[in-house]
Amino acid sequence: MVAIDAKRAARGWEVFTHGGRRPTGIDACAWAEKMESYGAGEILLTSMDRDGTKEGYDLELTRTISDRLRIPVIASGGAGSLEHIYEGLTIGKASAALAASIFHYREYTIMECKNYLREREVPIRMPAQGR
Amino acid sequence: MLAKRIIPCLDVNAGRVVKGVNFLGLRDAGDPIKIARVYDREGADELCFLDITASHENREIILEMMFGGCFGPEQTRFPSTPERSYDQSLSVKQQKPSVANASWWR
Repeated sequence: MVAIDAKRAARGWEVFTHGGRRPTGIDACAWAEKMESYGAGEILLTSMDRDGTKEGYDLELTRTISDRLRIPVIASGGAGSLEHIYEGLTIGKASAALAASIFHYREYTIMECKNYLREREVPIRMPAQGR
Repeated sequence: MLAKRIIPCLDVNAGRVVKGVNFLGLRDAGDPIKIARVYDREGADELCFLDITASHENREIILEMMFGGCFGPEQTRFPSTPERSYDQSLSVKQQKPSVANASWWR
């Protein structure tokens, strides 16, 4: 698992490190491809521009990198509604959706999220009975 | 088609779950163990713990919080996890969860 924190740049997206404190000058797409070639099993892709904003994932970023890689990409940064999660998994082509604010502040439960996606025919793993 | 996964993310700083905007202005969101247990019980596919200040503070990630919880598969941001500590976290994972009845975690 390689985590990439990416921020929109004049062209494409730039990788940041140290909790967003240090720009690297590295292109996020090129970096993601390099990590895959090094054997990464999955990419956690966080849009710094969208983090905490609840405006939705950076779908262009998510889709661009998902299209270029074979390994799973986790969409991260910006989920503010269940529709955003749906969009990240469909338009953004992510294998997984990561979210913080909407769950921490109890705007939605995990099951509300999963039911919403299932109704829209997104393949979802439902928990076993009796949990 | 493989099932899509829903992953609640716990940004952890100084032993608390926090959430910021654009990585800044961190607000307290509660206790990591309590929150993680609720997500586990609710059917989250994975949990993601991010020790968001480890790199900045030039230190190893803090794993102790996971020893107190009993969850499904965790992920941590840094692959350089000390092996011994990771084994401990795995052994904890296999224990039966003792879920508190906290419906709210503040």
